[in-house]
Amino acid sequence: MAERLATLVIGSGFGGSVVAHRLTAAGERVTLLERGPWRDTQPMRRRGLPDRRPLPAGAGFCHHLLYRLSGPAGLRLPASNSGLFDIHYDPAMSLICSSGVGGGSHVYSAMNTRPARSDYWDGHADGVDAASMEPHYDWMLGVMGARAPATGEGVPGFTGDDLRDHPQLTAELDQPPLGFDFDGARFRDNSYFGSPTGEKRTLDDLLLAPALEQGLDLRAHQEVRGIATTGETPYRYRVQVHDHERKRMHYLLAERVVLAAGTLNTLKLLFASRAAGELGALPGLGLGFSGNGDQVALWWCHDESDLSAGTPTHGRLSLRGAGDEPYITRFGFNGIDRMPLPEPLRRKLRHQAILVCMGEDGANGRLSWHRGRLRVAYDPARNPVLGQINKTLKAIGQGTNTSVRFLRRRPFTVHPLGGARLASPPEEGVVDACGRIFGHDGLHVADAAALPAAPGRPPSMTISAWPAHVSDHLLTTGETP
Amino acid sequence: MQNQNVIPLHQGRDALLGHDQTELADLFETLPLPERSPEGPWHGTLMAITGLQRLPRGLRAGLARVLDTPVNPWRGKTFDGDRGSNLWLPGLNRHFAHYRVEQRDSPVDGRPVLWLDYDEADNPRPVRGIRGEARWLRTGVLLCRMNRQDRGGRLHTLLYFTLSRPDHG
Repeated sequence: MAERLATLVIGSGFGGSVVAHRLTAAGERVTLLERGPWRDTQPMRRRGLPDRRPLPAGAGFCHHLLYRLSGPAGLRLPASNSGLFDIHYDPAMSLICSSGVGGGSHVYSAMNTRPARSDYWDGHADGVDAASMEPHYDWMLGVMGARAPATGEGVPGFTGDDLRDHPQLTAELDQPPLGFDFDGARFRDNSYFGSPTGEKRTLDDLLLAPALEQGLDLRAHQEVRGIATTGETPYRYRVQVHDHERKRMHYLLAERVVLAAGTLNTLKLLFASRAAGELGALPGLGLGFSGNGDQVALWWCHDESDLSAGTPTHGRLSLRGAGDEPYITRFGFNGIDRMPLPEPLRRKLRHQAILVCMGEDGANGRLSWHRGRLRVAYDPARNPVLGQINKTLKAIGQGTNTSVRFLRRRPFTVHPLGGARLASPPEEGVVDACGRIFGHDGLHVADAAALPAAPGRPPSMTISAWPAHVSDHLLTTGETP
Repeated sequence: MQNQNVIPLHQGRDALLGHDQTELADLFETLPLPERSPEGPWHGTLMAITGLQRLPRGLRAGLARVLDTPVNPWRGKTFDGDRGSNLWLPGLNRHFAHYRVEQRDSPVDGRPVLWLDYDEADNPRPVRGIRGEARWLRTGVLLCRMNRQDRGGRLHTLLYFTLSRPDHG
């Protein structure tokens, strides 16, 4: 007999883990499905969680690296169910997401920041504004224990120290608070490929494992493939799930479903369900897509020190006199010891850097669904911030007499946002001020797909603030199973 | 370990072709009764046939697609109030195997189902033991289970099939 669930949360990243944690703490019966595995990190070992899968390292680096590679025209590469990255290639903009319990918290750069604009949440829908969202930022920053490194503290690679006397560059900027355990840190292996020692604070440890003790039912290796309305109460939604361990489909009925599978997969689910004749027209689906102005450059800077040590990011920098925008951060090849690389190349890369840039694009991209595939329409020419970022990167190279290399015509993002955005009329978005999909009581979007605009800053705290807001609504309006 | 399906699937007919009987029983149990009794001709697609359950998912789906061509003389069913019959390729007995239609609780899962009872005097004896069950898969598509009732009254699932209204293939 198919299971009957009260609240089903799909996904365990910055959206799903927040909803699951807050609803469980309030005494709700919550089931969370995550397509990936628990990660084998020291905090998870200490908690004794079973069936952990390694982060990419050594001989198994490639096997544990890629969960899925998909794209237009049926592009599909075999991948591993314990892989870390889910890549959707599209000529207009490629999307890179993560997989596993804790979601993006394993692969992000630990920067815990607010949006560039203090009025980010204002004017999108009645019932959501900057003032009401502020406590959610405070809560999440508290959960992450986030703080910025201090000058002179001795954090390896910190731009506040490294660039203090630099003639062309400065780090005298608001440095991002980091969700990082500075006490006793080795400052190694806490990169985009995860943090096996737990130096980078992750949501599996901070929110999900504690919620398990309060009754959260979290199931790994369960990938949701479709959502349908049943037309019946109280179980209004039927959910198709692929069990990666048993390699079979099964079906669940749920009173309430919270979509938090990450922008890419939440949108795939909504598009696929709509294409199958479910969920109605959803006229605003796919609108307002943003890459958060992401641009990444290889900075061939030949630094004397070993830049592969440090926090996940070394911190912000800018050209002297260039102001606060765009948002540029420096990274070393942190985690390089775990990559299967020839030793000479490894030695060389230790002294090079990566520049990661973000900015407020216009969130004017559009996603669509064509023969079962997601398509991205995104015009860089309509988003001048991208040109500004490229210009700044070029200026850094020229100003420092070093090589800064980046892709100009192949946009990609690790911060896909929008597509099921918060909006007031249903024609312009997908969810209302409570995160509820227009016309579908009990079906909510609680991840970055619902964001109404590009934060222009590392978005993890903004993504987390939204599900905190959605959870409060679910708990206070009586819309509970 | 490989991903079995890269594209998000859904409960559309094609997505079900590779399902086995256990998976379809799981889905079938969650489905509601048709909003109203079906009328007229419905196109049928066979899947999850007993004896083929151990085949790989892709092969099962491929066979189901082959059986959805004129290789298979069975074309579907037609409904007329509380009666119905099966549809076959032209040249054969177009309405071989009749059934009565009623609403009742399924003896398999205890939930309401549209019950197709082949225990009719004008059916050949082997056909009289067939008991069909149908529920809404989605608008215009029914998911059905074909069972055989043994002498002890127990039901054994033989296969599943979908019935699609001509305008909802």
